[in-house]
Amino acid sequence: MNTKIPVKKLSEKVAVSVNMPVEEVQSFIKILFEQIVDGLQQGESVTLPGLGKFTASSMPDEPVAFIPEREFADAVNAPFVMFEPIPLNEGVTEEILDSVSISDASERRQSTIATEEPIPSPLPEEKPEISNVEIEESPETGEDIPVLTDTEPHVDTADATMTEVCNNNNDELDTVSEFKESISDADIATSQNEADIAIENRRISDVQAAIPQVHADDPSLYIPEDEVEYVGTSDDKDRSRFLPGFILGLITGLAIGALALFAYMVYFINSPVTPVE
Amino acid sequence: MKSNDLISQLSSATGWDNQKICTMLNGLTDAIKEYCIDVDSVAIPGFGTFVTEKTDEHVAVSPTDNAQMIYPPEISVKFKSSVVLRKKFIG
Repeated sequence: MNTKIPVKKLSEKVAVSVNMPVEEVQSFIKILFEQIVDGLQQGESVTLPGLGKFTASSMPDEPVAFIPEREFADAVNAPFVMFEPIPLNEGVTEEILDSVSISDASERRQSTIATEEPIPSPLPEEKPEISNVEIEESPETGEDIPVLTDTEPHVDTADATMTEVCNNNNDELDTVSEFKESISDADIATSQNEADIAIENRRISDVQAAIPQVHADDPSLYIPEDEVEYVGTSDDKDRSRFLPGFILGLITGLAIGALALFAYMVYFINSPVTPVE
Repeated sequence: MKSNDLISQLSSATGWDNQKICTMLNGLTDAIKEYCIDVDSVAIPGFGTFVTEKTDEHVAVSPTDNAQMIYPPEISVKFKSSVVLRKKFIG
């Protein structure tokens, strides 16, 4: 495509088709077109059957004009032969056509993008009500208490204080109750979801039973008596240890000093004084 | 010059019979057609080049009724004479 075919290549192609030597074909081509030129120079038009008609032209740039045969022209124009000229409406110019075609294409593209809505998948939307509930059976520490949504905080009782643990447990109970309400009010579509919910309810009841009913006035259930002294912040512990120790030390020192003074008084005052001769 | 006259002149110039001349002529025209359909150019030394040109879609005034028309794209075969041929005709 879009290549210039030399006469040698043309001769080889013709030689193959007519089953003759290439040299004979080349000589034939040379003689043929010499005859055509002679005829044109004599003022005659020359017709090549299957190709077209050569006529002498008055144009200085093109002294020879070529009119292809209809079949030859249609064969070459085969990709566009079905199209015909179309009349334009009055007032329509080529510039308007160019501008309209560009904007139409862009609008078409925007409309296709706007109409292309993501296909909703019902299953993932229904699942968060159940799948967000991650319950692990750990009744001892109370970890991984079920939550309804991602916004609700997850409780980590390992690092919580006494009051925080109590508050968190209360919150967890509230969330569990809310979760139970949400499950009961939810529109369950499939039987599989119902089975999952039954399993989750069983888990929730187990977790509820595992979580002891803690109140702020009764901390001993969570914290052993041996570890009472470890409850609180490190600063508070330091302050509580220093003051009694200081007072005790002060009192001890004063007591020892008083004793020493008393002993001195008893020994030196009561002892007889011998005159010096 | 009609085709029969051309064939007789070729026969006398080459010494071949008319049938062989017709066979060669048909083979040559078919080869040129095939190359032009493939949008290739065929060059004949001392004569010219058969060139295929593609014209894009355009708006033009119809010569018949002076109405604006949209002309579809088109692939056409044109002939461009060589320098030797122009010298023969111009002189």
